[in-house]
Amino acid sequence: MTVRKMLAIACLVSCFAAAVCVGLLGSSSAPDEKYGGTLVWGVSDDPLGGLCPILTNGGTDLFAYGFSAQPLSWGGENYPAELRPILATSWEVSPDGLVWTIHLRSGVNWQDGKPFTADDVLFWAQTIQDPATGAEWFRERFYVDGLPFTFEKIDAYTVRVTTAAPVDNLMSSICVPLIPAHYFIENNISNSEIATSPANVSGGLGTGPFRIAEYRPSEAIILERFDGYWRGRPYLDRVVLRIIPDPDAMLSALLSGEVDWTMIAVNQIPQVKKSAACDVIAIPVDAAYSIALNSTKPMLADKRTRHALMEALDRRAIWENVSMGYGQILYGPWIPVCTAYEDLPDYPYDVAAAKALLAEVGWLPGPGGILVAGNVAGVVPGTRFRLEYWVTRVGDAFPTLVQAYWRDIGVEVEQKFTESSVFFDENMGKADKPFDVYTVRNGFFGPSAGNYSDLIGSDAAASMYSYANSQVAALFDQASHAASPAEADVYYKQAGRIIWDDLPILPLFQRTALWAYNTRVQYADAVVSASLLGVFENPELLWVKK
Amino acid sequence: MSQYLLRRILVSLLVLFTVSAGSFVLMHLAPGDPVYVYVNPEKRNMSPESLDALRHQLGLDRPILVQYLFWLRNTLEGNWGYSVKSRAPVLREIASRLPNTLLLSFASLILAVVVAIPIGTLSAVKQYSIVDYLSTIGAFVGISVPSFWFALILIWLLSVKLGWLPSTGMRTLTVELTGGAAMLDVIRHLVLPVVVLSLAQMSEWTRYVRTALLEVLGQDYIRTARAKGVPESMVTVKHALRNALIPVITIAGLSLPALVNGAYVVETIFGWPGMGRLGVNAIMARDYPVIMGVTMMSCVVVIAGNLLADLAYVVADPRIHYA
Repeated sequence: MTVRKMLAIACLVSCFAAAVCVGLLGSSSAPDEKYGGTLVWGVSDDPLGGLCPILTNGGTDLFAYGFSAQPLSWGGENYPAELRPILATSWEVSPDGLVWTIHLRSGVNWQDGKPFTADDVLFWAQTIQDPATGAEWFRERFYVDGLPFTFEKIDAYTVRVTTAAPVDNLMSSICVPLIPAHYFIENNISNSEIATSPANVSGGLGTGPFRIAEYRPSEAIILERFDGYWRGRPYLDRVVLRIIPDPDAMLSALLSGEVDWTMIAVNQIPQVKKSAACDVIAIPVDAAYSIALNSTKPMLADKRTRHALMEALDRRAIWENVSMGYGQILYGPWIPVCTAYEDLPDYPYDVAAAKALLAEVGWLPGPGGILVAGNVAGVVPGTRFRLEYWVTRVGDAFPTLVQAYWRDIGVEVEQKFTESSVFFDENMGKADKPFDVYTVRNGFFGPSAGNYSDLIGSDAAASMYSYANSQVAALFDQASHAASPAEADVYYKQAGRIIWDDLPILPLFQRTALWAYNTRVQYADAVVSASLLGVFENPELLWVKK
Repeated sequence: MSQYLLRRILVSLLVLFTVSAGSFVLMHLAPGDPVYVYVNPEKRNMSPESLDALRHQLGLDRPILVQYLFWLRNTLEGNWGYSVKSRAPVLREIASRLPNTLLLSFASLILAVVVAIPIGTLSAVKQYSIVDYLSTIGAFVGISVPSFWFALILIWLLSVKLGWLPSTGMRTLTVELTGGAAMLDVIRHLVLPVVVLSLAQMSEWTRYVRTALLEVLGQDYIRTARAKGVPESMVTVKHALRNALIPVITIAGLSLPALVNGAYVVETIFGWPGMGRLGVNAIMARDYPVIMGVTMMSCVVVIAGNLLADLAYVVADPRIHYA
């Protein structure tokens, strides 16, 4: 073999080897395609109350916290119901249920690089518990029987929480994102100054995968990747929460590719489905639609009347009409995420049976097909059966549907339009509330039925539904002192059956979060959740196709 | 003139005080508790004690007169208070949005002027011609078309279908742009809202210019100028138009407050972070400090706008003189 030939062979072999290496490198660089890019998330309003997580009031800021801040555990207040350790790794409770020992995660840094420790937990707890802070959304959840939980530092990564009475869902109760002690201490920000401090006005530090880099009022909240995140570097470089108030404009932005992810209404689904680049996912949320009846009013005081009004509603048709079949019809007073939820006997749609019940109560046929009072307790004979439906939201479909259904059984419904703040101002805290009927959109109670205690079970003044039942109140009290969640649920189920029979509210169906997104967004590993504190369980695993 | 200005300033101060007191009282008398906007009981029911604590923290538990006096003192010291909704200083809330509104408003004003004056002039000079009829029809359509509908049509066509222009926001937020690229990006985002916002304005002003010019063109001095052999273009532009613009100046001066107050509908649909949304959202949220801040700023601008319009008359018409 000549030298020339040997050189040629060597060259060929080298080229082949190089090609193999390039091929291997090429295949090993596939995961790199996930890194980089920006996710634009459409939101409808500015944050309400600012950007400090302990001061949230349930607005747009909640979406920001889902990326930037983290609680000790995830669940309870949130959906799903099971608790997942986040900044706490584990916890134990003493046999008497009064002492909790919480073990914190080590190796976690705040977004300025400082370590997360038990000092942060103590600072965070005392800040929330201090009335001067104004964290009214969460403060009461750090109390039991009017007494605050006591937080003590055992060591840098262990905290002891002592309560005055057993709190079976303590980890759910204190499921609030943490805030950094060192920031507020070093900057001499007192509790009363937190609300107006830059941490709240412009966004502060968290332990999440993205930090709030900038807040442009009425425009956007911009979050940047935090490379020191304890679970590893996030895929995305940036998340932009773009504020677009008009729902039609939001849909247009999604369809034109300016927004990658947003919540839509049911009637917008067809337009999204028509687009090849967009799709929709439906996630059941810890919230429901119900019709509240003021059972302190003479016309609605008789349980049979409320049964009749329930049986006059075709709940399946309403569900299919309003929700296009998303969510599920409720057969109990709680939302299905509640561990005490059980399917109770249905109130089937039966106009004849409803009319018969009203006749039993003492209502008689009147002019124009509207019932008039015959011998109805507390109602002047001859009074027309007329109810005022307080409507607080534009586009609320329920009042008109209810009006039509109840007209069939001789009940006249008049819609009274008012602002929600006016509605609550005129009705909250009053034993003799003026409303007859209104649409309830409550939610985010979590797995414990005890979280419904302010709505049902206290007294008519405190109850949003003007409902008071001493049996139910007693059962709630027993449940709150139960030794375990399972024992508490026994009492809550009994209470639920009583409420389902009393029907102070007419539960319709569980709500669904409808998320429309651009198909370039890859969210499978991030896991979409219906949590109050963030839509993704693992936001660091979100990525976008380039 | 100096005495005139001094009188106007003194009257203005009285107007400002009256507007502030009246607005403050009316605002607090309106039904609805701001606390229930701040904390929606449907999401989180709070005890009466907690609600009272919140009211105390927001300063809402004091008598109205005391609240007003605190507000007046603070405002005179330059502290306009803190927004109930965002907890940010009211001045910051206004300062972060005012430039955006001024940009949008002045751009639409310029577009309206640039289109209305030539078309109105042409329409008057060629009265009853096809140009006149077309501009009249166009003006009436422009005045009649609802802005929100027009906006959505433009978005659907130019953003969704054709992809030529962005549909929302003031700038691209997915990349950092600087210098000329940033300016061009803002201009691209400005096109649709400016067209929508200026449509009604340019339609109205086209009609005003036409009507005013027609009136002036019938005057004796115009006939004299023509008789002297002055070219028609000079007659129109140098002699007639200048006088015809006096009522247009009035309208422009009176529209200054609108430039600052913003346009709620356009800002909402296009996601433009401006004063319109700030003001209306503050009203819906019972955000008293922001409402007062926006109201007082509008009041100052109305007063300044009227004064500027009056002073502009002196420039436009030498016959006008203030004692």
